[in-house]
Amino acid sequence: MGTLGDLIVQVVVIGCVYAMIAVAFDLVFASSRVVNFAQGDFVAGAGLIAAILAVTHGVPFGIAALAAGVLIALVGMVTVSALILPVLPGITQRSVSDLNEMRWVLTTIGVSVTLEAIGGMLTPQGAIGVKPLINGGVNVAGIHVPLYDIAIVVVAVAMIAGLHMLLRHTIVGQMLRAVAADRYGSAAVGIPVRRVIVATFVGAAALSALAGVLIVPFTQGSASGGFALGLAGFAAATVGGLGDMRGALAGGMVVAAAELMGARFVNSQMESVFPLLVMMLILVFRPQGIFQSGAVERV
Amino acid sequence: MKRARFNALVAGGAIAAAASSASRVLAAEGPVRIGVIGSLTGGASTYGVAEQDGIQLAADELNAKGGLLGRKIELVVRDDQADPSVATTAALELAQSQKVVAIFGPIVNTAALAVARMSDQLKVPILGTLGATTPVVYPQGTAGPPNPWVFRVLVSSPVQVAALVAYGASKGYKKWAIVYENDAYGIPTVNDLQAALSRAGGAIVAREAIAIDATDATAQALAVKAANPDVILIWTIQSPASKIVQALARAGAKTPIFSANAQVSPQFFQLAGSLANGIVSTALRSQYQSNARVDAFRNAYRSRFKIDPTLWSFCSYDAARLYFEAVDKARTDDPSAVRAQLEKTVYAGLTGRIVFTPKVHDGITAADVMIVRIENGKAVPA
Repeated sequence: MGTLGDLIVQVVVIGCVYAMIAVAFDLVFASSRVVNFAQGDFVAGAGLIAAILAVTHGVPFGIAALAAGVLIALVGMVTVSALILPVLPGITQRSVSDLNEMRWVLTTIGVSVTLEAIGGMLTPQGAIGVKPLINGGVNVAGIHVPLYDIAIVVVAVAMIAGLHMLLRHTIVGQMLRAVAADRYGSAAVGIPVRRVIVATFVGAAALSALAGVLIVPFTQGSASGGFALGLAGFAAATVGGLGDMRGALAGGMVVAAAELMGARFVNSQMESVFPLLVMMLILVFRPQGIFQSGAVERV
Repeated sequence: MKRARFNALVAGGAIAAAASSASRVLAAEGPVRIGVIGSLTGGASTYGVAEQDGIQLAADELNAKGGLLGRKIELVVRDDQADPSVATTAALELAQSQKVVAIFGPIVNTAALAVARMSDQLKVPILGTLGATTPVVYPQGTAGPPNPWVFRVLVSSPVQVAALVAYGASKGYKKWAIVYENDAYGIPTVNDLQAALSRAGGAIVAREAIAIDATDATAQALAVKAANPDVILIWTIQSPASKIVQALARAGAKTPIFSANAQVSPQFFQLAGSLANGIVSTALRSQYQSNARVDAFRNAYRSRFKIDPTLWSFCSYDAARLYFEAVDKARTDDPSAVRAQLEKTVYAGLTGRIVFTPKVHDGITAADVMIVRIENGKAVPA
């Protein structure tokens, strides 16, 4: 079992990381039909801010992580309010008859490029190493499982379960589900659609930040990891059904398995291609995601 | 009215053209403008900054003595962010708008390759610590002719690999695993290793690629461990290398690790921590020498830049100084004339004796290189 067991453990842990990023994509897409191409950079950016504060400036990691979360949530707030909502059809008077529904593609890509450039300027010495807060591991059937990895899995599952409860059992959740199902109808019955979109965007940014500071001991604080993370998270979201958080964990596992197993047993040169291949297969054969039954309900 | 305005415009245009060509004539007598493309931000910045600092020190020292051909040396610096497309844009801008007479850098392999491929358009000597792989200098392999405009002063990948293989052979290592960067820097090294092993005896039992921005190296580490090698060669920059080393430790692999000289840097020590100890790599002999020249360089570098010079600082300082000597000998900074002079270089540098000929454009040879081992944040002779 030895090394295969190690591989499976890593698939589970990385799958949970991708699931957390997928959830962020799902939230944003559900409420606004926008795919935030900067989502991965929110993850990496939060890790980078926490790394700079904790390692370069000696700030205790908990406070550094909090600061990173606040900053990234702010970035999310600015992005959605200033750059997304004004060009989203049906939200502002001006664009209600706008035929170009895809301007957010360019704006989110622009945010992504900008964040990576700023990150590059903040790291003239390259990546910053961060030590994990918890050390040591347990031995499960001959496989060494670090405690930190278990913590990542726990946080990911708790995050997704918590979101699930929020959506099913709170008014806010109901409003989000309504907006996800029908934006125009929700507006007609008085649901504050703009505020819901802002809330999901900022919430997704905060969740991305949480994922980012959690994984920074592995990814190292750097500006350049964001794109790869975002791509993997997006692939996970698509496989699980874009906009549907129930598929996020499974989507994450599938993508992580494709990536690691493909690299290990097929060809490591194509490691980053396997998740995309899986995503393309899903889009061709089951575009609603492996867990969606094709029903209307999206969240 | 229209006619008068037209005439005025033509006259104005003629005056402007005359003025700009006059200023171009004047500029020919102004400072000697040299372009520097450095990876000043991003993953390769420790090397890029060292490269720039080496050139800066050499230029400042010569300026203090009256400059080059009696003219001040002026460096025009651009950051390529370790990105080949930014590097090529910068190279075109430097050669065509800024009218520099030579370009130093880029150091990142993919960027260096891209700029070297444009040498026909740039028409200026391209020198310095230019990416370590063979195709940068010899586009058709070492058997073929070098790129006429490219002159490299850096420990190339083949030279490093040959030294490491010789050392490994002396330890009896026959089965080699290589984990390499999945791009123009790492991929040619597999061939370099194959070539060195066919001479020294040995075989590659595992070859795993890793993306430069990979999140995780578990798959590669497990594949390497499963092949049961005698030694693992890592060929990538610090961040992915540290992830490989961590994944190998996590997998419980106890195999000795050899690496590219990219790992002999404080940044790798910070990222890999105690896992860096015991890793074997290469360095320049001169980095460990103490004589008047080397000490003077070290002290000047330290007092100017507040850190110790690294391998890239040594190489780029030598590259700058041999370029100045070539310009001096050619009695002009005209790029073509200097290029021809560079091919007759015999320069006693800090790094060793650098010889360029019409067939050889690579300055550092195996004689200049030695094996080192990383111990507690320092590289010591092995």
